[in-house]
Amino acid sequence: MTEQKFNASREAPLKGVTVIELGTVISGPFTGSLLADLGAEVIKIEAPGRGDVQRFLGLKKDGVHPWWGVAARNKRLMTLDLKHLEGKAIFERLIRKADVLVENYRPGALKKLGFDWSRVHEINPGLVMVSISGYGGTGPLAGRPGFGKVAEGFSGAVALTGSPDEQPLFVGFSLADTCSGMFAAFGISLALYHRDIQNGKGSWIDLALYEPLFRMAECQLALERSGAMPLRRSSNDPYGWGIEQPDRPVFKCVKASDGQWLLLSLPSPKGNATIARPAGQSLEEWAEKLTSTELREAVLSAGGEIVPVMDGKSLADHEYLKACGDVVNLATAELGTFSAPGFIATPGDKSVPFCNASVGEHTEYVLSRHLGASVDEIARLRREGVV
Amino acid sequence: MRSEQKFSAGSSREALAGLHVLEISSTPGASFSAALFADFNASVYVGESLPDGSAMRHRKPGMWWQIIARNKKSIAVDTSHPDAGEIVRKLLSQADVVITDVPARDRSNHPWLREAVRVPHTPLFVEVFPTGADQPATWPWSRSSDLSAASTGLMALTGIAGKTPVQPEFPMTDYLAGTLAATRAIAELRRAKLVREIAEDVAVPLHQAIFRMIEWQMPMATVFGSPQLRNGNAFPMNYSISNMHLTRDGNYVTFSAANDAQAHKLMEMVGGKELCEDPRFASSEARRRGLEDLYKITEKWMAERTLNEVLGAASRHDVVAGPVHSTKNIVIDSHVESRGNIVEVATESGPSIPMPGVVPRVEGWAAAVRSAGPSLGAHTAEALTACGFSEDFISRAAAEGLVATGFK
Repeated sequence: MTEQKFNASREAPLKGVTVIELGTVISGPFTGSLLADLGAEVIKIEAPGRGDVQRFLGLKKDGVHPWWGVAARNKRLMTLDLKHLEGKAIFERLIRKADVLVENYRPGALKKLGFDWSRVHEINPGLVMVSISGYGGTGPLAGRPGFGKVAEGFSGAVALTGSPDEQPLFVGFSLADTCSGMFAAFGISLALYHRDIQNGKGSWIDLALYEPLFRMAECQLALERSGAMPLRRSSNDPYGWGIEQPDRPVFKCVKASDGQWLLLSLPSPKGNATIARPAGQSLEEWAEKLTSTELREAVLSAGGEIVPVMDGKSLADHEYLKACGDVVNLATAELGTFSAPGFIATPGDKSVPFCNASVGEHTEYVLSRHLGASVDEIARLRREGVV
Repeated sequence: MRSEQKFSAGSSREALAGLHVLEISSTPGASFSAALFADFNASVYVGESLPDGSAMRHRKPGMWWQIIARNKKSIAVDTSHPDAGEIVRKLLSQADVVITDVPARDRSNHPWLREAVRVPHTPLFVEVFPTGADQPATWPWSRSSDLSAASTGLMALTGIAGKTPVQPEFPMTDYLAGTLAATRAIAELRRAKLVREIAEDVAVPLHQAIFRMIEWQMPMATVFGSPQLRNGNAFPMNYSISNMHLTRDGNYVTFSAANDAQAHKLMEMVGGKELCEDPRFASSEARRRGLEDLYKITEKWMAERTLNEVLGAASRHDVVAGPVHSTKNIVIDSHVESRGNIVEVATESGPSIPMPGVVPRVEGWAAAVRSAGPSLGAHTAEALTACGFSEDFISRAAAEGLVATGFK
């Protein structure tokens, strides 16, 4: 048997890469989070004052928003007034030394501040810039505002989710935003490879929020051309593509007697799930009389497949996810003991799984470490409201 | 910051030109990961075992292969033939990257990958495999790729409150895992080339990308003692305004308002300044408590108007709203057309087919869809020649059935 090449002492893949994040809920900050997970030094710039709206999303305990603590981890949080003349000058100095700029301001907003692609490319020809917006930087809707849920509806993904007899369904988290973050991180990884291994030049990635989902729902266009209109069918089959597929297994979500939901698939000649059960009993009625373990044995014996439908609590408790490094247990004074997601790559030496950082917490660090600003200069910038 | 590096002779517009990838996969996650490499000009060869070829080739609908194998090449070898080992070893030796759905622990049982131990040059292995396949001792459940969404948290969060969990009917879980794997692999290749080290393998179980994307689910569940669960079309925790309603002409429209300014624009559109001043909705905290009441107002307002009327009003009020597109709407959408999101691709036999363009779009790059999925073995001869096999050898191997060359 060959072993995976794994060297616990090696550095995270983006160590040494500096990222400037001009991110606001949710795609920009999530892109920054992924890059930080990969070892980059991520400097998140917020306007002086309340900071990114992401700070206030979701439930809070003792004044702490757990979501923010994950979204801000391993980032350097600084404030900077980009409308102030000196703020612009500091921003220029930062991007001159940076490798990546991530922004998801409304289209045109950064240009109004004097920093569109042509300008930042002029300042730093090696810079990789990613702009994420509702509809991208070109096309008739380019200037329109767009949030994730609207992008999900636009992509075709929502029409493929739910029951044909009911309203289509959104996926229950910020799907388009985080998909965009994932594809933006992919694009940045590519562009850094291209710059450092191929030709030395920076690149501009122009990503619309709907495009990653549109890219992944890749069979819908050819199916429409063929006349097999893809549309949600309550199949719960991810390889169903919203069309009739009589050769596919039957997928069902059932609830066991212990309250656990399970997703199972059963062989289905002619669309009928084959599993022995009392006459007249539906699959759901049969399942609710068995425990999860009994169901597992029955389904596997019948040649089917079965897994539990996991939620935030069962994921945090599962031995497999802990073994994968996906669950990190920690404690803070405000939140007590809790679990946070692990890192998507070997964490770097500065990696922390949770950071409830305040607005401008690392302003001084960034100014002195990255720009060599003196204590007096930083004090003056504070007095003048630049940072 | 950037290191001093002598650049290779790669094209200035082709990000991964010169990179050789071998795909050994029967499931969509690893195949999509390889498709991303192929979209950006890596040479991706799909290693297929005769007589049937890759299982991806036979998945329904039939056009799936044409799309997921776009920009790729096919090498077909009878891996049960006693002489197959040498060919497979040479192909592995030529690869910079091997993308597979087989975790490292199962390599020794795989007809292509078991040869990896006998090649002097070790490629970077990128493994995108079903949840549990790498550590079955801690996973007593099925290890089937099409069930992986259940292990991400996505299904527990999607559906009507209290009712059956739901997932979208396309392989989003697999594809996002493939995207994460490609991201990590390219970052690792860059690092390894810069410091002249051997790149470290990348392993991504299928649940991992979406699990990471729902970054709040475990902290919320463990801090507050119970998990967030599906909440229909409203956000979990009602943390922001976002929903979908039916219009008078039978279309669905989505709308969203993530901050105070957007919320006020929406309320002004559906109820004038009076609604903005209503104490039930005057602050974000109040709106969170009164969200169901607000949704009743938005629902009634949209039900009285056509889709075009709603979108027109949204545009005038700068409200974030949009249609729920079905595919038939997408193919005629002028914005989609203008962005070049749909490309028409010639197939080896039969008419051309439409598929999504390359994502993400990078200004000035030559990323494009150049070909649809190849026929079985169409590039075997090309690949074997590049490995140093003679024309005679290839002809004999084809005559014996050791390889298929795709020639009629």
